[in-house]
Formats: sequence, C-alpha cells, structure tokens
Amino acid sequence: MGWRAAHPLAAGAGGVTPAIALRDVDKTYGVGRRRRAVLRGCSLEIAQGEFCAVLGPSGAGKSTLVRLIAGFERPDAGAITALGAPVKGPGKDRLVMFQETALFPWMTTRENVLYGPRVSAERGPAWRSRAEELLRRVGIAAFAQKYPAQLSGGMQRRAEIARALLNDPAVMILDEPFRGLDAMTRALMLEYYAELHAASPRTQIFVTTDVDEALFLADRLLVMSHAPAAVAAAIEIDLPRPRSLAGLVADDRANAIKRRVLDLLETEGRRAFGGRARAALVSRP
Amino acid sequence: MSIDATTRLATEIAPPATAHRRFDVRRIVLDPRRRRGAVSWLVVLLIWQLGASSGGWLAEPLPWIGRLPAPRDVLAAALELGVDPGYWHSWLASGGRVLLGFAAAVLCGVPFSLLLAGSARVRGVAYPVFELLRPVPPLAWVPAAIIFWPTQELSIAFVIFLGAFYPIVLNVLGGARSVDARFLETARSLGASRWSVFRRLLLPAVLPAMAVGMEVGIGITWEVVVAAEMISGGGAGGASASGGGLGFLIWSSYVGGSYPQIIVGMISIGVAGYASSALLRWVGARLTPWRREPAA
Repeated sequence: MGWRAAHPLAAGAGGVTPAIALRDVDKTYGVGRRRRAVLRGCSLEIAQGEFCAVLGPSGAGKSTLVRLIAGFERPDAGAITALGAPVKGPGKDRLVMFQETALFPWMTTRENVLYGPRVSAERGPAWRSRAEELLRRVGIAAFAQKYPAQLSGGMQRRAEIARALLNDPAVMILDEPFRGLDAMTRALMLEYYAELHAASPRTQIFVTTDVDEALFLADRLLVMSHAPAAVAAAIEIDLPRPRSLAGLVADDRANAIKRRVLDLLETEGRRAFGGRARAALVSRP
Repeated sequence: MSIDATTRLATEIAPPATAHRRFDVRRIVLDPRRRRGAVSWLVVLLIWQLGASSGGWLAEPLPWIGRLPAPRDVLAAALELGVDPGYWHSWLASGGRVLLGFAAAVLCGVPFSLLLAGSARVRGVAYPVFELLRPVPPLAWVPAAIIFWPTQELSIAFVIFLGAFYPIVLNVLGGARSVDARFLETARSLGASRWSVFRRLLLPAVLPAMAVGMEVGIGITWEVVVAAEMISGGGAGGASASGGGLGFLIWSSYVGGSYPQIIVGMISIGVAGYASSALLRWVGARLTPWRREPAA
C-alpha cells in the first residue's frame, strides 16, 4: 500500500481496488545470446472504468504488456492483479482485441460473436438475442451470415468488438486494434469506439503508436520507455468529452499534451536506437 | 455526431453479393479457359496424328514419333476394349485398390498427424521413425509388401496406402502447425475446453490443408497402383490380359505387342486420376465453404 501512496504512477482515488495493477514486472524472452529483456521493473495501475492508452516506441514491450495482462504469458518476476486477484491465466474478464483480425475464418459472423457462450456451455435463447442486439449495435446485423473473409476490414473489427462485448469483460484490452485500416475507416472506427465506450463504460487498455488516437479516446496515457521497458510517464488527458478528431487539431491543450508525448517518444526512441547501435558495436568480434 | 458515425459505418463499402451460380451452357462453352484447353488438346492430337502418319519426312528428325500408334488405331482399340468386360473389370480392380489404400491412408494419416501436432510426446516418439521411412519410395516397398502381406491384393493396397499416407500426414501436420496462435489465445480467454479447441478450432483450421493433402495423395495412388500392378502381376484378375487392373493392362498390352492398347490404358489412368482429384477438390470445397472466393 505504501507503494500506491508514494508512486507517481498510481491511478485514481486511493482505496479503490484498481482494475489492473502491475508491480515490478520483469519479462525476458529467449535464452543465451538471444536473451532479450523486454520489461524490467514495470509498474502501473489502471483504475476501474478508466480508458487508458499505452504508447511507446516500437519494440518497447507494448504487446508483451498486453499478453501478460491477458494472462497468455507469466511474468518472470513481479505481480499482476486484476481487481485485486492475481492473474493466473487467460479469462473472460480480460478480453483482447488483437492487431489485424482474429475472427475464426470458418465461422460466420454470428457464430464468431456467439463463440464465447457456446464454448462455455452457456448457450441459450438469451445469448442469441443479446448477440443479435450487439450485431445491430455495431451495424453488421445484415452480414451475420457472412464469413469474415466476406467482410471489409472495418466490419471485421466491429464483429470482433461484438464478440468480446457479448462476454461483458471487466477489462477490454486492445492491441493496436485499428492498425491496417485505411485512414477513413480508422477515423470512423475511433469515433465509433468512443461512442460505444460512452454508452457502456468499462476499463479499457488501448495500445497504440498514434498519439492522436490516444488523445481522442483516453482518460490517461502511459508512455513506455525503450526496452527493457517500464512506464516512463503517465499523462492525464483531461480534455472534455465528447471529443472530435477535427476539434483536437485546433485545441491548444490537446496540442500541448501531444508535444509533450512526442518529445518523450522521441527521447525514448533515440535512446533505443543509441542502445542498439552500441550493442551492435560491442558484439562485433 | 453519434448517429452520423453509425450510419456512415453501416454504409461502408461491402463486398458485392455472390453472383448466381446457374448452369449456363453458353458460358461454359465460351469460357476462355475451356476454349484454351480445347485448343491445346487439338494441337496435341494434330502433332500425334502427323507424327504417326508421317512415315517419311518426320521420321528423319524425329525417328521415334513414327513408332507411336496413330490416334485412329488407338480409337479403334478403345472401341474394342469398350465392349470387353475385362477392361471394365480393370477399372473396378484398380479403382477398388486405390479406394482401399487411400481410405486406409486417410483413416490412419489424419489421426496420426493430429496426434503429432497435438502432443510433443507423440511427436518425439513417432516423428523420427516417420521421417526416416518417408524418403523410401512406395515402389521400393513392393517386394517387401509381397513377402509380408498374405494376398497380392493386400500388398498392392498397402503400397498405395504408403503413397497417399505421407502427403496427407505432411499437409495436415503443416496445417496444424500454422494455426494462428491468436485463435488459440482467443479460445482460451473465452474459456474453451481442450476438446472444444480441438473440435471447433484445430479441426476446421486444418481442413483446407487436409483437402490439399488428400488431393495430392490420390494423385500418387494412381501412380503407385500402375507400378504395383505391373510388378505384382495384376492380382487375382491377372489371369486375363485385360482384367488385372489398368496398370496390368498396360503391361500385358506391351508384352503382348498390342501397342494401341497401351495408349488406351494410359489415357484411362489419366482420366481416372483426373476424375478422382476433381471429386476430392469438390468435396474439399464443400467442407470448407468459408474458403470460397469472397465475391464471384
């Protein structure tokens, strides 16, 4: 508890259990000469209901962070808790939306959305009607019988959102979810996701490489340092909602935050390059 | 703005609906692919006829082509064989052997490769043996198979089994290994059991690779059945020249000096192989409807 009070990265009001908390987490991949420390001493807290964006230079361990919180992998050291309980593996309370699509190609859109209740033997008319409602809400009800390959990129992303939301996860984890979409569709998806969050708020962890995405969506922004990574800075985004992508461009406060974040990213990025260059020189025989 | 974004999303470009698949004779005849195929067949027949009937002037640069029986003689032989019940018995004999060996290869190969893919322990035990036996060509097994199996039919079927077994195992194994890790992780997050992961994930994910493996495998079975019948003497039907299988038919026609029949046998095997591959392709497409082209 002392950590919470003293640490500048602690989020939200004291006393409430955070949705997700990492304490001094280390994660290393590979062995021997291929050994690569990705996270070192990484600590963070995400409050319940908070929309938290995670930003960092590429290779900063953002995806590793996602995999650890989701429970796909275990940390080498440190502790990860979800709503106070230690994370021991993947669970329905923390659902991940990956980069690109992870819809099952052999299932129709409807079957994909209904996958969660189906595999946990909770099928029934109640789930079906909830799925239909979600399909309508994300605007792809007309495509429920289509296979993912028959959907456009944006529709695939929305089907995936529906698949996750049907299970009502406490935490949604999005790993660069709109990467690979064209700029138009991406802007629409951002607006759409903001509306969805406003309509049914829950804890969101949104990993991105795009500052504008973070400014548009998030309550708070965590900037990762270069690898082995930890949280370099936590920045409150206290801009009024609803926000608009166009409005943010003209907003002085938004631009001030953006400058600060870009400065940080540049510093971390340069450090990463410098570190790599030095390593290359040293390892040469 | 809220309604705005939703409606704009709803009207976002959707792929066009699948075109109708009505049977249309005109489209089939005018299909450029079919036209090109017909042209190439005509060219092959023309060169063949020219070569066979040239005698003099083509015999100088291409002395071997004049020795081929002419298409007319082959057609005559085909008509003759067409009314010979032994010829059709050969179709049945070879087809039955292919079916038996191929079915055994599917029944053994698919579970074996899924076990290999699913369990590191099974892989550790079985894969080295598999990898060592795999380069041995099926035909090298013929003598051993004749010694080992009690009947000649079983020996032939066993060699055919080997021909189809390896491509099926390799393809299914490759398919299982390339299953996207995100699929498995999504399933685990949503609480899928091991059995459910196998049934709803692994199995459909490897179906396309399985279909490819079976298509490759059935092609090899026809290669193998011919050679196995030539070597082992046509099995039970080998008493008559035309009734011991299509491979045996070719061999006995060669031994008996009826060369047009050789060509009829070769074409028969080509047709049989093409038809069985096409059938498997069709079955494979039915089993994997999600792999149809997004829009026709």
